[in-house]
Amino acid sequence: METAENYYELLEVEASASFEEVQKAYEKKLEEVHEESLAAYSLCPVEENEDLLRKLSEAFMQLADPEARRTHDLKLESKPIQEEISSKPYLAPTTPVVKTKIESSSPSNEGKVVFLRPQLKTGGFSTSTGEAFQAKVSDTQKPNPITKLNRQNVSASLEEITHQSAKLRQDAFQNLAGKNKQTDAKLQEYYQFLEANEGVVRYSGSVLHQIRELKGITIMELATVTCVRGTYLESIEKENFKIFPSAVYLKGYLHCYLKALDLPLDQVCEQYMKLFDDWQEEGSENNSF
Amino acid sequence: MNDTSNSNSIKEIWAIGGGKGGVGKSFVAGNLGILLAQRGFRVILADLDLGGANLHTWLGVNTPEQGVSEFVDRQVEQIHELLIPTSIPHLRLISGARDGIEIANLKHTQKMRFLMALKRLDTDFIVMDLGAGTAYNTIDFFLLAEKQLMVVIPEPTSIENAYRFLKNSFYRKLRHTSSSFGLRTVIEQMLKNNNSFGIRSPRDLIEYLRQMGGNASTFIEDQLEHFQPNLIINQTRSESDIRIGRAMEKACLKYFGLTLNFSGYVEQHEGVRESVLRRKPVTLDKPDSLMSQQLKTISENLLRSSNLSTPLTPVYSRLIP
Repeated sequence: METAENYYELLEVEASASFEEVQKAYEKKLEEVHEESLAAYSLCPVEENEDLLRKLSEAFMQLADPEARRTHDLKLESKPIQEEISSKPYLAPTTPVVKTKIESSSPSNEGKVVFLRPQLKTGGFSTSTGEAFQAKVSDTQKPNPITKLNRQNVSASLEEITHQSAKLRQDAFQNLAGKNKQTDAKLQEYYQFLEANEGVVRYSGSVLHQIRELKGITIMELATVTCVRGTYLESIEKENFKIFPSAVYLKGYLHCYLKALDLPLDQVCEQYMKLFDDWQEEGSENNSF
Repeated sequence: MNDTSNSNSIKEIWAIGGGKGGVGKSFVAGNLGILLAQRGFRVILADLDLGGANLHTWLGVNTPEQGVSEFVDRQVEQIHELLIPTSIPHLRLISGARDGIEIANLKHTQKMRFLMALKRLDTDFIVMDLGAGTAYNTIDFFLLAEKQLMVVIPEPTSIENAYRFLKNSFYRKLRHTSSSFGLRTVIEQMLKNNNSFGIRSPRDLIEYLRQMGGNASTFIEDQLEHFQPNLIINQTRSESDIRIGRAMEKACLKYFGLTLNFSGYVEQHEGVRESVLRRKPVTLDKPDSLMSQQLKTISENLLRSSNLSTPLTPVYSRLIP
């Protein structure tokens, strides 16, 4: 039986740490990795930091979800685990998933879903009605899940997020897991649409935005689960790279974003971080001595 | 003060290098020179950045008529004729401002003549501003110094260049000193890219020589003991930037097997730019400022440190062309 990974040790927190302490520990670790990777730039193989970052974000997401944290703690104690564990324990719903039609799922899914044609270079959006893929849903709701009220919450402070109760966070995790599961078919359709039009699925900021929208997940919901500020999450989708202190922070937050949306970490990170590298290169050419 | 034949008069030579241009080597060299002079030491600042000489600008001295190029060209025979007084007592300047020849392109004999003349100057300290790049001549001047300083800004390009400069300096030093240990041929082989020993980094080389034992082991331990450059982080903007200094010490030891000494940092501040525009060094213009205090701390750390790199003083004649 393999030894369970001790995520408390990895993040250097006590097993009794509050959510706020766990979140602060993750941010501190990101800072350490940032400093170490900068100090060892050109000396240290890139993979070393990649592996560490992945482990850290994995640890954080597991300890951020009250249910997953319980699972982790039980594994550490090597007690038999009673409840059914899915392959992704930290986002698995504990209530059975009722198969519903798309039209009758949560309100945010009832909006008109238009697959906007992503402009891969600029990260913006355009509507090409001839090629737009439309799901047949009610016309009564506006498509944009980020309502005015939510927009105020996007810039909610970290303190506000970390002080949310464990119950609220647990509900948020379960809610997210439900949405991820329910929209699987829609996601596949979207991938087919991209392949038909672009030849390949290329994960840019605008594609990530589109995926989140079709899953009916708001930035606020993501922020609650990942504890990453809404402004950072939005910036990932807008490819607004200058807001991130360094690649380490961008990657750390991107990992959390992808885990929450149940997207393949390796594949997406590799493609997305290329955009960041290109942006950095352009910047240094313009600023060369 | 005239040039004398007293070759033992110099206390120490400090060399400020680091590879990347624009990180603040002249800023650091000029201000350190001033701080030493203010303590009563006799200091000569040598601007060896002939392609981009600007120490005179940092010091508020008008572009000098004669500099290193004229000495190298033999328009000036005696090095002491190049010495320019500054407004600071005990501080004189050798300028590179009339750049005819880049220091990187000095011929071997020209370099030797200049080095010999430099060492014969009657002064307490020589502070050399080396300029950018990792050309052999730049590195040889770096290796000449008792105190070797690298200036770095907390950005990937600068840090990468610094490590490249450090590695090249170390390898160059090994090449210079290996003959006296009878290891010239084997070291030359080991320093080649894609060598058959599997040596891809300074750390590989160090471990290999240690394992060889005997003469090889003695040689490498001796070299390591006398190669301990100092690191200065310039233009820091945060606590995190300052911590890069210690982090670089650790990274350098871990991946290169080399000792780096973090000697201090200087904050990025608009006040520096103001001083530059007034052509007044910040230690004169704003002596009570944070930057001046930080530079003072660096000078004190360097004066106090006993980790002296052994300069290539005894082996001038054997400097490889």
